[in-house]
Amino acid sequence: MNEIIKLESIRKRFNGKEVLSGINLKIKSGERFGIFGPSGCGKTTLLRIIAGLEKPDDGRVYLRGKEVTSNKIFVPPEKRNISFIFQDLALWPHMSVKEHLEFVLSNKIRKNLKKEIERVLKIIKLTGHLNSKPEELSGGEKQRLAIGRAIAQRSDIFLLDEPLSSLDFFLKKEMKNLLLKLQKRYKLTIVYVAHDIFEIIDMCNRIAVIENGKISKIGHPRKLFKNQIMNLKV
Amino acid sequence: MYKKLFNYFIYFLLFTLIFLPIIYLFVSIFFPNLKLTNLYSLWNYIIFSFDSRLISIFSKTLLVGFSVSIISGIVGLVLAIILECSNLSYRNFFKFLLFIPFLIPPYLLTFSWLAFLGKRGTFVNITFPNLPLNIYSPLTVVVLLSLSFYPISMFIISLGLKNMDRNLIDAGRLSNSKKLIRKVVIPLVKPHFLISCFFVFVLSISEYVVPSFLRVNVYPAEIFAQLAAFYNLRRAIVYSLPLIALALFVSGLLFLYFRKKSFVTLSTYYREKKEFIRLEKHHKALAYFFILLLLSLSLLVPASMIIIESELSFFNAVVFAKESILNSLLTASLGATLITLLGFFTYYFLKDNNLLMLIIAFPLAIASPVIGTSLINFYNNLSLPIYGTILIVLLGYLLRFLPFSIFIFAAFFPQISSTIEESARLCSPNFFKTIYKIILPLNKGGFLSSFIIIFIFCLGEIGVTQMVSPPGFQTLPIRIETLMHYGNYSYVASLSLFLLLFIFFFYILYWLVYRKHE
Repeated sequence: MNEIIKLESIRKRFNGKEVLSGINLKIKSGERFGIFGPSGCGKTTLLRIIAGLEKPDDGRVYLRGKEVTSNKIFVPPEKRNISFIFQDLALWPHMSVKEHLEFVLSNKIRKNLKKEIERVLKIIKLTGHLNSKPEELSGGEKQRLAIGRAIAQRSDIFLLDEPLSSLDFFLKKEMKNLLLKLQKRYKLTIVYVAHDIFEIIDMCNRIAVIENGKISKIGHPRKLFKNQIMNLKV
Repeated sequence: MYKKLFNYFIYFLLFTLIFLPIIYLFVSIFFPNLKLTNLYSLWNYIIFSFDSRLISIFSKTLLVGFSVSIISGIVGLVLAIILECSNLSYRNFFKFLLFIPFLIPPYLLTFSWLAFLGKRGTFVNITFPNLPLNIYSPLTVVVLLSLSFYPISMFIISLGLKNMDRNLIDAGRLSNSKKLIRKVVIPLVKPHFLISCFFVFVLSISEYVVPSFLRVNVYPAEIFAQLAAFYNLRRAIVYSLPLIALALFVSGLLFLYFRKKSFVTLSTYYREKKEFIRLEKHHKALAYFFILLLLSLSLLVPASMIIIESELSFFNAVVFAKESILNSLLTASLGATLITLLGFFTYYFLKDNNLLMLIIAFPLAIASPVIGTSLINFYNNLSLPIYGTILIVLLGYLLRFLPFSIFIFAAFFPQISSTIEESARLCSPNFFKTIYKIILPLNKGGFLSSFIIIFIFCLGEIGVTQMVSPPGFQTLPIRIETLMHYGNYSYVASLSLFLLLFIFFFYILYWLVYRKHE
């Protein structure tokens, strides 16, 4: 597998406080990579730096082998072809389900727009909600719409910022299954940010733990969290 | 308990100080002895009053108001997007400059443009004496009012942009950056655009000083003529009915629109930078040209003309009008204090009620002579020592400028206030302590901003002041207007310059407060 995302010495300060201090990371294509850590440790900032929504103070970002962020180069987020699912989902309140998908797809394809919208709707099981606005959707439906928007983006990189944090147990399970199914089907590279151990264990095959702005551990989640899981079982 | 009582007290104050004089005026004019049997003759009187000439003037006024609101709205939208969301340099400096024209009373702007392009104007006489230029037209009224009011649209739409959830924009950037502005940003600020258009429309249709300078007969001027020339109070009130009905109708439409938009809020404390529009070199040049053109038309030319027209008689004029200057300072500072306090509590108690907020804004639609008349009519019949004192001037300011203070608090009031207040109430059940120790300190930026902006407005107010001023009491704008009638243009320009410098000084203070708060 090739490296699809590579971070070199990423540093970021907010109001004089260093949030990320020299992060180095390589993520392979098709990997389900988790970023784990306590609140405020810089997980979301790191994800936003990969997407180009935030500029690091120092360091380099490579996507698909190309340098996209450095002191000299900065490829804007819209040119990175990345799908991002935000923690609050960031669904546009004034647009219907159809308009959400249309907005994204019209940038990608010219023909068969209607067919493609139907295809995505089928995947996310929202065919009956074509003209519904986000406020008319349930929590799970909103989640599926956010996933559908990300699929419509047709990117091989999915960045997910605690996307399931607001869902109940059953919805979480359903969404995890959907995401895993999609990852397999489209051979996606997923970078998954969470602070819930079990969520990250279920979703990722490799994780990095961020502590004090640095990666303290990296590896398979079950191995890294063996002790915690054992304690919980006892 | 205290909170509820105080809430009712604020309702009572709003009703008594703002709505009661207006309601009393209408009732006393139409139902002199509170007899409803006069309805038929009243209806005939109303029908009889509106002849084809008046309807044509009314239509012209509406057209002017509509054009001004649309032009200001579009200019404000473009400026807000450029200044809030792009990578243009010196954006804060431009924001600072571009808001100034709103603080300059429109009659000063008109005076300076008349000095530039009018019959005795510098530009026409010196540069192009044979230029067939007629600036005495409704088109000039539209242009000059748009130059005065575009900053308010810019300000309101900027608030909308600042308040917008950053993730919504980021999601749009990642999905389809080409359609981001058209499909995401503009629809999300559409409510703010409409509110700004409403404000500008209401301000434009009740403006009569600028059209009268430009010899354009507009509807509020007809109202003023009925009051000042014919002393026909009843007809003036009848004439003002359509303006009020229109303002209520438009505010009703807005209310219905906002009821369905749960995501719309005017309050903002979320001031993250959103530089998501990367302007290329030629786009930047175009943006600079647009901004500089606006600044030249709304600031540079007027300020230069006022300086030229003053003919170095600045100090003589200031000494000549020192009493009026002191009167202006006194009334403006007292007015700003009163309005700021009431504006704060009004916003605090009404912030969740869009309908009441719009009703509070409705006196903006009433022409200032009618406001003045309603105050005289109401307080003259009361045995309170208000009529004939400067208190009545302050009440006039309150009627005119309270909506602006409320609006400033809407911009400054922290969104977190509900939980902060709740936690404070859990610690101390004393409502006034919560207000004094928690809510007031968190809003000190809003207080200072409201005080300074309202002070500036009061300083330039003329419409109500000239109706209600006690005998022998003149404020600076009234002195300027009197001198203008006598044709003493150098003194007019000198005092206008003094007023401008004063406004500018306070505006810098406001900006410093705003920046610190940000």
